Amino acid sequence: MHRETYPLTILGNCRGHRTANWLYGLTLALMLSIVAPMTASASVVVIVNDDVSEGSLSKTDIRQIFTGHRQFWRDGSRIRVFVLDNNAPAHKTFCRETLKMFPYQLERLWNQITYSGQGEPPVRLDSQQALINAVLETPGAIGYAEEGMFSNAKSLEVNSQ
Amino acid sequence: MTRMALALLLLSTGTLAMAQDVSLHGYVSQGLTQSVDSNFITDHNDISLELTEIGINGRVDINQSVSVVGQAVYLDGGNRFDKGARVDYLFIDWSLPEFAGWKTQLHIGRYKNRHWLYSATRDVPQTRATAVLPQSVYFDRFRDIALGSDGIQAQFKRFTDEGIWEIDWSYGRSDISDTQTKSLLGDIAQGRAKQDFVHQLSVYWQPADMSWRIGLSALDSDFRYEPAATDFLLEGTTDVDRLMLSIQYFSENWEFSSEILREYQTDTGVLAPDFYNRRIGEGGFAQFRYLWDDNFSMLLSFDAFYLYRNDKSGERLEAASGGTVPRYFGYMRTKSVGFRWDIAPRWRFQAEHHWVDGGARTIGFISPFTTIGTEPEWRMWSAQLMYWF
Repeated sequence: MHRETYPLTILGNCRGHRTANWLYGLTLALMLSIVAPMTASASVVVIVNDDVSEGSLSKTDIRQIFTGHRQFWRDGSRIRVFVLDNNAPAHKTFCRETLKMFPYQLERLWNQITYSGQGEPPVRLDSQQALINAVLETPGAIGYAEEGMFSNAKSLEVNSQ
Repeated sequence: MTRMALALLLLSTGTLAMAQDVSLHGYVSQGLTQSVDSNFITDHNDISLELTEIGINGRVDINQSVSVVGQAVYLDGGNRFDKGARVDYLFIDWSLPEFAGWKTQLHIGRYKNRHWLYSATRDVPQTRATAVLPQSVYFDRFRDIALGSDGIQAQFKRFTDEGIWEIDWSYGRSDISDTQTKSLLGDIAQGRAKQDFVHQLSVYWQPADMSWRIGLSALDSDFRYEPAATDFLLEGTTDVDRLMLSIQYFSENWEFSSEILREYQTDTGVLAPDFYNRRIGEGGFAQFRYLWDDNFSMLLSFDAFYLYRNDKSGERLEAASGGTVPRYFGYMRTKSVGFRWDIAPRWRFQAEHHWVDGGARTIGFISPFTTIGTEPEWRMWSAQLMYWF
């Protein structure tokens, strides 16, 4: 089976974080993981809460999660999806580069899922910092952020299936 | 409310205590509308507030693989469908273990039709491109029967690096109300129309770049009419088969969608003991939407439906009815423009205007004698403000 690897990142700090408190920074380092930039040139990467036990995600996994077709982690806990507003540049980049769709397509898909009772829509936030904080604080959370928002990265591996 | 829906409602109430997770969503939409030279929406060419949609839907997760989901709505669509409250869907949603890469969902109860491009969202105002959907496919008089059925639906999905396969299969039936019976057969109907079954299958493919989606769907449904003790109409049956091709294309600033259908219908009895009629109708729509930016978009659409594919002018229909059904009830061609403005998150204003030539979708499904007042050329418009949560 063909396996494609991508650099993955565990974060130790978040640049631009408003809280200077070192304890909060340490907590952030422990809780937040970046798991799957979808291409080498991707400027937006996927982040998950630290209690998510899955060490890697495939492209298909990520597409299924962000389009509501997979709603539970393998350990049975619920996946909580966080996204930015449709007009946020990071959201447009994430939709186009990672999900291969446009924001209006994703919104329509979620409307279909939500109003057919098939799942809970993503929580929409109006800033990247709010999204990062929400992912940090919510067990089972997944979201995305621009690569430049973080430092102290450590690479992991994920397959493309 | 159907008996099955009621049973499921009781079941869902009982399972609330076991629930791991409960979610609620809904929408409220109010509009102004008018049909001019047709009673399709409003009578006497009046401007009306008869464009109200209020819905609440919920999902109760029993465990990771079993949920109970449902939606109750209040609708006022003028003459388009029954005014009042109803349960649109209420079913057990069961996720089966993944097999050979296929994800399987079973919906047991009053399931929601997922076979056509907009069938799963035709009840939700903020998901529709227009308040009145293309009538060739989304015939409003059939709204409650086409939206969902009591029975079982299975959805199979497979995600691959090349794209997404989706196969839906369903088998069920719907109750037909007295009002719907009269709508389909005319006010002279004293008995009840019943749907014996509706059997549907659809297959969709979307490539990995997600830029387009294509699907084929098939429907087979049988109806019968049971006359009252004193009735002008007789016992009879109608068999409907429908084949449809659906396609969508998505670009950054525009999108295109189209569905074309062929409908085979056989009627026996009802109007006379030896009455037999076989027709092949066809139609479809093409819809183009341009997105100016994240908040504004515009829509252009053309929809056409012909009751008899070999009688597009309706001449033979008029002759066969002895002149009682005018020829323009043999076809219906609609040109539409629409405008959408997303005022704020969860708030939308949407307006549309339709110019219609003919009245094939303003007549009864079984009997063309149920014509409502419609001129050869007519128009309708609506403006809706909607909020959802």
